[in-house]
Amino acid sequence: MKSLLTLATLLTATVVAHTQPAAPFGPPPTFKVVNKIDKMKSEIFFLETVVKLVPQNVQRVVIVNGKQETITETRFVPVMEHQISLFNVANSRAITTDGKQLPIEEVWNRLKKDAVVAVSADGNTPAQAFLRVLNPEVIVLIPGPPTPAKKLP
Amino acid sequence: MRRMALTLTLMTAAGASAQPAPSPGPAPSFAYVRKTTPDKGHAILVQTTTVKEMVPYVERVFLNGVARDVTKYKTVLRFVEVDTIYDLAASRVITPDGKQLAIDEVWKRLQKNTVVAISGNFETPSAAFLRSLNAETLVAIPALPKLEPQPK
Repeated sequence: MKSLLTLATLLTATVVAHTQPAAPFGPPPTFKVVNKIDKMKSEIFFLETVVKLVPQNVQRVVIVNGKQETITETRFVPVMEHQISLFNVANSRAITTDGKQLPIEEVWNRLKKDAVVAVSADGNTPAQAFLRVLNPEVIVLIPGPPTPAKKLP
Repeated sequence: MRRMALTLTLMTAAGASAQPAPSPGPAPSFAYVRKTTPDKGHAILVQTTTVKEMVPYVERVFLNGVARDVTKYKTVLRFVEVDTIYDLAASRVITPDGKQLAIDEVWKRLQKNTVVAISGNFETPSAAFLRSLNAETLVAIPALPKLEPQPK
């Protein structure tokens, strides 16, 4: 009887462990919006919008013990900044969300201005858990190792 | 007169098309669930940030014909996981089709290690980003941080 109970407990634990997804390994990819494509140079320009919370001091009138007092409060106001970044396709890989490699010609055919792509943050294929949350139509770009800067003459 | 008005209308329309398309706004970021406490309305989400670190390395240099080992430093980017408590009871959680989920449904679907998208500007992400997500993905739109009283 005891061994039966132990077996049942072990089986339940195994089932629970299998139904719970594992923690994704590595950094998540980031979404980027295509701004310009230069097929000749194998370059893509991305437009990124970054939000920064900027503290602002605001004065407010409050009533303390029946008297009006002006207090200064700090409010965090979201401010948007636009940045253009360059992505070199020549030394990169492109995959679909199921991990299949995309030929470079297919990448150029599918990439249009204002298209959204996912870009690997660390140069490795993003974890399955991150790929699963993307639309199957999204292209995942995996940058190659950075090319060393050219020495000045 | 009519012809002039038509020309003006056409010119205005051409001007509008020459303007750059509006930016889709900030992209949502991804995080995974560490833990949820539905009775408090909180969820601990794990986000990844980059940290710059100065790493020492030794380089052999020749000074007046004598080899010497010199310690130099280079900047290395490291990825660090950060746990953030989100007050989901005060936030909105939607699906990529824009439908808001009831909080009970949110707790049901937010299992440990589930990946979610988090709005980048405390507003609903633009349609372009929502279309790029799987239909099952949850999108959390957190409320703005609370006011901090000015230190006296």
